Amino acid sequence: MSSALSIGTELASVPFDQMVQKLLLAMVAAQDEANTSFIEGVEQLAGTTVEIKYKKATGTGEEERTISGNALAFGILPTLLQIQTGTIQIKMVITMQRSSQAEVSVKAKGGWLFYSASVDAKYSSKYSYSVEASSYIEIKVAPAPPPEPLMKAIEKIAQDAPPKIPAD
Amino acid sequence: MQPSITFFSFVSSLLASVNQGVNEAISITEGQSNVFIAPKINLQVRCTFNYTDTLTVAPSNATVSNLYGPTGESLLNLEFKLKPKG
Repeated sequence: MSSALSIGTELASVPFDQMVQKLLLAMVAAQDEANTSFIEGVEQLAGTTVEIKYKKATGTGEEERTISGNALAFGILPTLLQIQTGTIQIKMVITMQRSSQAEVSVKAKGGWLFYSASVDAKYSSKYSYSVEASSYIEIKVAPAPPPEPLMKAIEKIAQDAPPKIPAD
Repeated sequence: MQPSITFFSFVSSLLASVNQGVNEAISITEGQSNVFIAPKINLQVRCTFNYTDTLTVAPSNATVSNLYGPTGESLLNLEFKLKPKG
């Protein structure tokens, strides 16, 4: 790379394909976090006992009674947030670099590597470059159904280890 | 130093880069329960076109903008759509 002819290379730029890849992986990571929070929420509620005290009128007066049960049994459920669609738009500039290295031939079709740098306040200020004059990339992402083998595995686990409901 | 490449090389290199990024993301998340696809990627590139013997293009950045000035810039809109493997 050091011997490559640099054209307009800017600081803090990343290879263009990595920018696309990281944006997609960020959505996966965000959904993973949401799933983890959901499972933690279920576990937390499963360990929470709800007690409702009330007074019942009897012939001689009042008697305090308590209804207690697991929070989940009362229908208190955590909410699973799911990313249905997402649109990421990034203002950026594209720079090019010629590469003569054979090992990057897949990435650098025609011997060129593309780099992208997001146009933020730092870039704009450092190079006196207008944000409005920048290029942009807009990626629409949508969740895909899990692969069929994985779904079959989940079904098998659910069949072999169903949730145990204690008898009355 | 001529900061421009042929239009063909520019477009094909961009396409190769986007494909590379999407394929890498798919292979990293292979087998996971959360899989995201990118059905559409829009790319708007501000650039400067030159024509001498061949059509060449220079994407706009601070260096190119200072060299050519912002008034000479063109807009290249590319829309990439996911094509299922058939």
